[in-house]
Amino acid sequence: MTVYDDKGWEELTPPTPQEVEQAQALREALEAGEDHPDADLLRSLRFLENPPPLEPRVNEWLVHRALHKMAPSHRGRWVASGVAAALALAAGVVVVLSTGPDPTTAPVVRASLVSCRSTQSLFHEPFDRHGGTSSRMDRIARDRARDYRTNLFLRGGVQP
Amino acid sequence: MTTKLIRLVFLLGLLWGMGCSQRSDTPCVCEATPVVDTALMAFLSKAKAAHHQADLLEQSGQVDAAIEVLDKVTSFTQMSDRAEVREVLADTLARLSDLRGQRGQWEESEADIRKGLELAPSGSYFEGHLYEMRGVNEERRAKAQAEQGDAEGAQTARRRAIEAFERAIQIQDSVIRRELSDEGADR
Repeated sequence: MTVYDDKGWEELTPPTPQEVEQAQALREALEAGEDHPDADLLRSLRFLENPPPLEPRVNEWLVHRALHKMAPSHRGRWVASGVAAALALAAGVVVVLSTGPDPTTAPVVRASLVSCRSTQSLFHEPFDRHGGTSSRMDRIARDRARDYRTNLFLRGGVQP
Repeated sequence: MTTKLIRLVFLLGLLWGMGCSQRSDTPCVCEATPVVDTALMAFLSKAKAAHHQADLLEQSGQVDAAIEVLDKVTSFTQMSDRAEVREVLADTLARLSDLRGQRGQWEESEADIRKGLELAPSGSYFEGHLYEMRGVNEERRAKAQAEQGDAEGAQTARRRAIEAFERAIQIQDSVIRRELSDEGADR
């Protein structure tokens, strides 16, 4: 809600010559791909809306890295065990010392994250006998990408 | 001695931590179900890319190469606690079974179906699709065996195809009925 919400465009103060000049300079910088203090931000926003295709090798590397994290090394397991023991002890102390539920604690955020679930509800008719698997994969990935973004926001403490 | 001490500390911490499950008014981390995270998105991205790659290979007649690409998806055995992973694997196995059926690899295609049925949720389109694919492959097998002069084998395969199609229809009917009743309840 801004102070301008109940005003028409014509009621707003007209731009000053300096503002017009700055806007013109920004437009020219964007069109020519030149440097400008605000141009980088606007280009980043454009990538957010319409990202360029990911290089297959980069995509493969990202997938490999993410999946690799799923299988910790032998040494990693020992470290993880030690960390888990310390965390479990710390969690126990916190729980014993706490007197009641605190809505700002991590478990509440964890509870509100979007969970994994069946994709059946995305489909409203039996699958074609041949073909169509790729489009089903697209649909599942697209839907879960939305949930993934929501979870990123929630983990960052932002209500999407 | 040190190891015993670490174990004791770990056990105490664990028991203390588990105590939080007795608080009914606070959501507890120990009740956590898997959430949509980077690992799931990476798997879905991999599956998506593999299926599109298999499309292109199939279109250019390279069915064996398409099978090889999809095999890389179904060889993934982690994250089976996530419904999305199980369903994507089941759907991929149905496609693999179809491709192997096209190559006359009857035993392998049936193995894919069995694996897929272990993963697909009961009474879902995924399950119905797997039975339908079993029917398609048995139909192909019946035709191939009849051409080879194996009348008895062809008859058996035909009977299995009919049973599989019948099962597919039953499942799809039940899913459609459920869908319609859900829609009715939403109105």
